[in-house]
Amino acid sequence: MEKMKAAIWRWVRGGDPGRRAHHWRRRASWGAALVLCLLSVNPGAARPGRASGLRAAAAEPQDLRRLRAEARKLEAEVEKLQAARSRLFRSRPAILVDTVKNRICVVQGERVLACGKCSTGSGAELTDTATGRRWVFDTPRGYFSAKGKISNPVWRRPDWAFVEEGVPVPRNAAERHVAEVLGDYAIGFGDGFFIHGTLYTRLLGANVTHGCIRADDDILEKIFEFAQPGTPIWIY
Amino acid sequence: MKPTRSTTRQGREKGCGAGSFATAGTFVICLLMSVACSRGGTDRPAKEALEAADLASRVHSLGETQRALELESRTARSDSPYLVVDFPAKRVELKARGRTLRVHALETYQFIVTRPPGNDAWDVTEKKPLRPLQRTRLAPGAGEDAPVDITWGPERMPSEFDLLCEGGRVLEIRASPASSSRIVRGLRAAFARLAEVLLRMSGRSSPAEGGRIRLWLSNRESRVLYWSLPEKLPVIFRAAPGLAADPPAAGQKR
Repeated sequence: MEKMKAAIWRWVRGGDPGRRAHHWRRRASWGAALVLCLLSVNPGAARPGRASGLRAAAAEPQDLRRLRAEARKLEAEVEKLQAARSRLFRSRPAILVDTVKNRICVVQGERVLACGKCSTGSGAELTDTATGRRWVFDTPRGYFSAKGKISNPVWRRPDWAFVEEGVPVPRNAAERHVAEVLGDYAIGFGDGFFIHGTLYTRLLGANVTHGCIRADDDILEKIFEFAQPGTPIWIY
Repeated sequence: MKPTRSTTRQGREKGCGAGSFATAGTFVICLLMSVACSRGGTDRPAKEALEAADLASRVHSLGETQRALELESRTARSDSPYLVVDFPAKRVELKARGRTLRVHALETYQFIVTRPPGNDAWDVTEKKPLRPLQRTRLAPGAGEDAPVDITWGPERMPSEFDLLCEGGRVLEIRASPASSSRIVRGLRAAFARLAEVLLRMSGRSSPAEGGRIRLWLSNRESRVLYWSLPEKLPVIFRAAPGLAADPPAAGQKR
């Protein structure tokens, strides 16, 4: 501090302690003091950056009021939109089929009414060497709706079932019908795909079917109870 | 009596010393006063400035959320499932009518030949694996005696595929195995970018074709995503904060 004081003195006096101070140096000192004073009163002016920008942004209290009002309005709007979005999922029962976890659920809005194990398509392929016809055993993905429901369904075996068995495809339709393999109930959702029961309960939870959804007896009964023609089914 | 030079000089020295002291004193007083003034005066504006900055940022973020929700509400009115690529939350959601069916963690993403989308929607028209799908082949005649393949379905699916969208846009899904380091992933991304540039230079790819976005998921997640998706569905992009307003250059990885 002492050294600094001495240095300032030296500068004011022109380096020689015996010499009188120059007028221009004194004036310069006064000027510098004045500039420093002004700058410290309004430091933002010397630092054009974030501080001055913020100061400018907050200079007007009405800006704050406007921003607060805008934020409140947007919050209300977002809440409204979120509520509207949650209402989009219908309030009537819907069926969700998870082909990764092999689980089937009946839901109503946010509520889960019933859930159980199922089996979905294997994704395997079969080619008929005689005709060259090819089948891919995928459960379709996306949105479907229930077309109808039947109890004690009879399976009308499609061509691939005979090719897979290695037996000729019958010409007589009656030879295709097999009872009891589809369980107690079946709910059709188009293109020959059904949610039905199974004899192979040990395979529930695996991707092993030819495209239909095989469900456990307990959950199948509940699905049968809730499903109506038009009941939405999402398979994913 | 005429004052001697030495007396005059002494007097001037005295006056000069007093003047200098006055200068220094004034200087110090001014400095102290100004510091005091600036402290007392800036407290409130600084608080207001901070509040204004917070509010402005909140208004921007709420605006983005509002636009994203409006876009989703329009898409969710249809029964078709849709995909939401949430860049800020780094996740990909499969949804139907606003309800989340499945969530996939998004490891990273890259915008290739496109500016980052704001709140935008694309329509997937086809899912195309990079390599031919290796499906299990059932032997005709094996019938009931055939051993049942109970391999988990998604396990047989490709981990790298393209979702071809309307307007020539492509959403690329890529697997980043846990074993691959950031360096390996960075090299792969750089190679992909180089390939893209070379293709463009050779005229086999055009930047105007619509753009590409590459999403990196874990090996398992990308297989599950392929397995779950229908052939056609809408994809919604949720913009990262400030992304739509100030897009980084094409090819930028985040």
